[in-house]
Order: sequence, then structure tokens, then C-alpha cells
Amino acid sequence: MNTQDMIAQLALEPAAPPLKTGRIALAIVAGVTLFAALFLAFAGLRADLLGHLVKPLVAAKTLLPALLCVLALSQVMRWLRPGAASGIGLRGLAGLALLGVLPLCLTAMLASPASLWFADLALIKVVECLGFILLISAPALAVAFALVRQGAPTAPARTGAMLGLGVSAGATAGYSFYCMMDNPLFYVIWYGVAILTVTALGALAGARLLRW
Amino acid sequence: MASATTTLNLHAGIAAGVMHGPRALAARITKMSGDNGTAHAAQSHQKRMIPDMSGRETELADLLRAARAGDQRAYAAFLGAVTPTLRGIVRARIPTLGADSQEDIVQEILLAVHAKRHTWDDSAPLLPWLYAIARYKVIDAQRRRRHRGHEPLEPIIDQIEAAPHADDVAAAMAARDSAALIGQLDARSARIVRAVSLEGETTAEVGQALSMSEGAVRVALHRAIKRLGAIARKDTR
Repeated sequence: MNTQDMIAQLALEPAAPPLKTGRIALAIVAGVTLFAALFLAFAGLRADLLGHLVKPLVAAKTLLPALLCVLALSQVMRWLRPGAASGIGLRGLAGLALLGVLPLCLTAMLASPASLWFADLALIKVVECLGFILLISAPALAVAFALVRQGAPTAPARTGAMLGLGVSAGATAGYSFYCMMDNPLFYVIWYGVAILTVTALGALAGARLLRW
Repeated sequence: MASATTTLNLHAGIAAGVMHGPRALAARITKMSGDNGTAHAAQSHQKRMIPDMSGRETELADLLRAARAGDQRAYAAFLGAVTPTLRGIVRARIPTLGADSQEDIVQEILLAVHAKRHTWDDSAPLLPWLYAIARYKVIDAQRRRRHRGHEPLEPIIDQIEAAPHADDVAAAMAARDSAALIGQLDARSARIVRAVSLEGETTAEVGQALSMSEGAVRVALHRAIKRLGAIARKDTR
């Protein structure tokens, strides 16, 4: 069959409604919120959550990941359309995140002697932090991938990584309402490890699921 | 020994094997619905000379916009108008490929443009969108050619065992190099076999990605596996 005949046949198919990236982004955020809320419903909020949230070092646990989530997801939405400008990118976002957490870590380091910096490091706490963030992220990421497949990312692995980053950052923001580890040197590192893990998983999944 | 033969045939496969790909699919589409009246519109459109980039941009964007509103004639004209551009891109990027194989890649790009036509943001320029799709599919085609010979064997053997002829199984297993085998299939069959057998996608998912019905994917998969067996038998003989 020659190309002209193929074109003629393709033209007979019904028109496709335009992609609504805003709606996809909202649906992903709703998914993350749902799974975070389910987790909090079972695990419970930390005691006196509002009383703690007024402290900047505690509020940052929620706000920074939430901001990261919004930035990453808006980046993913851009990448769903071929030919769009590449924007801030994974490295740019990572740099931005580092700039954001640096003052937190410095504050913590100046506020206590070096011997106390990692005093609250305990295996159980690390496992709890990583485990729960991954637990919230996994189903939310599955939903997100299903939604994002409507798009046409020309860099599937990179888009998957960015999606993993956005979803796990959102999951982390939700998890922070449960987490009682308020030392930035703890949460920056372990939230970071959790988010990077899901980002890597997202890259692997994206390379497979987002090809077209 | 088998793999040396396979490698040789692989090169022949690159030149000649990709021939049936999108065309087979296109042929299938033709069978399903007979009318091709819009072809003439597309053809006459294609012959027109293109004045300049911004005029072309506006022209194509208008056509795709009209297509979105349900104008099939405009959509045929759009696909017809982008085809020469796509041919140029493929020729420039993979000049070593035979004309037939180049046209197969052009058709693959057209199918991708069609499958992803909803991803164009009509407030953004159209040409960068089109070029990005073309680049993606060309890179995809190049990667497919390069990666032949580096993929795991076991999942294919599982598939081949499910095929009807015991001969095919033995022959394919003896041939060892499943990836090189797949490489000798036409592009579309290779993609289907890879997606279903290696990447574990369902036939429904593959069908959606390739704009084929699930049944058509199953048939294509079945045929491809039988052909793999035949190729393997030939190679080990």
C-alpha cells in the first residue's frame, strides 16, 4: 500500500480531542492527595500538627516538597508535547532543590554542636521514612503513568524520572504531616533519598511505559 | 556459527526486511474500509510549491485545526502536505537506507503523527511539533537497527514454544540469537514481538500504540513468531 492510500485511510478516522495537560496534572495531584490522605487516615497526623507547622524548619518539610511537586509536574506536562521548549530540566530542578535545602541544613548545623547533628539517626526511623514515602508514591505513580501515556514524550526515560520526582515529592509533602523528625539534617537526607529512589524508578518505568 | 549467519542475514534484513511494516498495517486499514476519495485532495495538495516557512507554518496549522474540527479532507491534505517534508528528514538522517525502508519510516512517522495528533497545542507553532515527532521516530528506527543482537533470548523462546510447530521451536532455539532474529522481521512485527514478548505489554496496549485492533495485533504476533521459526530454520541449516 502506498503512502497516499494510507493517508486517505487515516483521514477517515474520527478527529481526536486535544490533549488537556492541565486536567492530567490535576488528576495526578488528586491521586497523590488521595493516597497520602489514605495513609494519614491509617497512620494518623502527628500530635499538635498545626502548632508545629508554624515553625519554619517544620513548615519547610511540607512546603519544599510541595513546591518541588508542582514544578516537576508542570515540567512533565510540558514534555508531553513534542517540540516544546525543554524548560528547567532534571538537573536544574535538582540544583534548585539543593539551593532550597542548603539554608535549612546550615541553620541546623549552626544551632547544635557537630556531635548532635546526626544524633537522631536511627535505622527504624530511616526505614519508616523511606518505607512510607515509597508506599504512598507507588500507587500514585501508577495512576500518574496511566494518565501521562496520553501524551507523546520524546524523552520517555527523562519524562518518567520527572514524573517520579513530582509524584514522590507530593507524597513526601503528605507524609510530612505524620513525620516527627524535625531535624533538617535528617529529613533533607532521607526525604531526598526517598524522592531520588522514586525518580530513578520513574526513569526505568518511563523508558518502557512512555514509548510510543 | 549460527550467529555468524544471522549477522550476515541481519544486514540483508535491514535492507530488505522492513518492507512490509506500516504498509501491512495500512493494507489492513484499507481492507477494513474501502473508500479513499480523500487521496486525491491530498495528492493535489502535495504537488503545490511551498512559498516560505511562516506561510507553511500557518497553512499546516490551519489544516490541522480544521481537522480537529472534524474536516477529514483538511486532515488528508495536512498529512499529504507533511509527507514530502518527512521524506526529506528521513533521507537526510538515514541516507544509507534503501528507498523502500525510508518510505516505511516515513509511514511510521505519519502513523505516529496520526496517533499523537491530539498532543499539538494549537496555540503553539506546529512545525517544531512535527519535526520533534519525526526526529523521535527516526531515532527510534535507528536504535532498533543498532540494538539488534543485544537483547535477551528467553522470553522469545517462551513465545516460540507457544507457536504451533515443534520444528519452529527447535530451530529457533538452535539459532540462539533471538534479537538478531527479531531484527530480520519487518519493523512493525519486530515492534509487536518486542512489546508483547520482551516488554510484557498486552496486545490491547500494543494495538492502541500502533492504531491496530487487538485482534490484528494477535494475528500479526502469531505470524511473526511463525516467521521467526522459519528464519531460524534457514539460518541453522
